[in-house]
Amino acid sequence: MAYYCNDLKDRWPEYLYRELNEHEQALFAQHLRQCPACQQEEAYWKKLFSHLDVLAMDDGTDQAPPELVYRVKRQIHFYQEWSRQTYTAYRSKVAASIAACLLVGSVLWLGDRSLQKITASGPYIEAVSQSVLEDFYNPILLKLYKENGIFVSPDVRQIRLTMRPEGKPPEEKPKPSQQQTL
Amino acid sequence: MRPEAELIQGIRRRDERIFEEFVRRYQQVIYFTSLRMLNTHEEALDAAQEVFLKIWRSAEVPKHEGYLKSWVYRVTINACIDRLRERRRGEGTKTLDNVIWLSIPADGLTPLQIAQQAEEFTRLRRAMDELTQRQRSIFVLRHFQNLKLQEIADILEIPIGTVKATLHQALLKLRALLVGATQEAPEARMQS
Repeated sequence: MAYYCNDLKDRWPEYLYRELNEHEQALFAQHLRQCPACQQEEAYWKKLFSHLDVLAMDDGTDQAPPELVYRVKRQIHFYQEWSRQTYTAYRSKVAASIAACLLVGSVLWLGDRSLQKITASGPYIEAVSQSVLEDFYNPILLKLYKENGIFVSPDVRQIRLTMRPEGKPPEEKPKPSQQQTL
Repeated sequence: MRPEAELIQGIRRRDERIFEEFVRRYQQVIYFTSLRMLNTHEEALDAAQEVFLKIWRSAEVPKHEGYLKSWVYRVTINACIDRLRERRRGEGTKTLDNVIWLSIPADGLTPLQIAQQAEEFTRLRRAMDELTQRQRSIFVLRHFQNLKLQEIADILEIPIGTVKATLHQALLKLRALLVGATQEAPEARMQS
């Protein structure tokens, strides 16, 4: 079996890389010897490969630019500096967050303790300052009123908690008469 | 020169002196692969720098000896593919329209022949730009880094059959593009 031009058409790379088996390589070479057009094609492929070989010689140099090492070292230095700064900033943020968490936790804990204290002790209790209670004001009031029947009256600086006697409904102040109001 | 195992250990613990040796040893591989992939000196330099910085930051090199070079090729090819994608996506597409590639001419060539050769190289570069990213990666590794097909398959983590087929497609495409550029019609000549 002989090869024809069309058999060779898509197999040039295989032939040039010598990836054909011996029999195929021999048939290919046999056709090349007889066919001037394919000889021309072979010349073209060989020229392409030789051009690629020339390009592979790196346009006259085989050394990477000398500034590359310097640039990499400088970048690494910048990166280390940046990570150091980022780490410091991150550490401060973490410390601040931990402090905030501790503060909030202690406030909650104190609030909880004062609630227990309120339920356990007498009718009038001075509670924590308003600024501390601001965020937890409503839930505490609600809890106090619903669970313990404690009526809370906020002051400007402080909150005064009033506890009704156990088992009795909260005392209602008598409403002033219309005449008195007027 | 330190053995590869020591180099790997040094990179993993971010030892600056060992990393510098690694840079000096692999700068050619990384720079020239990037240059062939990206075609411009500046981009190749940026890509090489990016690859080294990525390696420094991650400090994740293969644990075992013998894989470092393949791994470096893989990281470089991936970085270049990312850049090519960005280039295609971005508005500032770089072309080689105004670039004339001059290689060292063979002795005894006339100025006209030198000019013709330069033109041929420029055409070849332009044709290479038309290859797909995978075709280009395989073509660069085979022709410019002179790697074997099996090595390319290992680097790109694809079957060797795919490497072979893609390389052939790339060469046939190059051939077709170059023929188109010179207005030749080899198919017509080939009808015999």
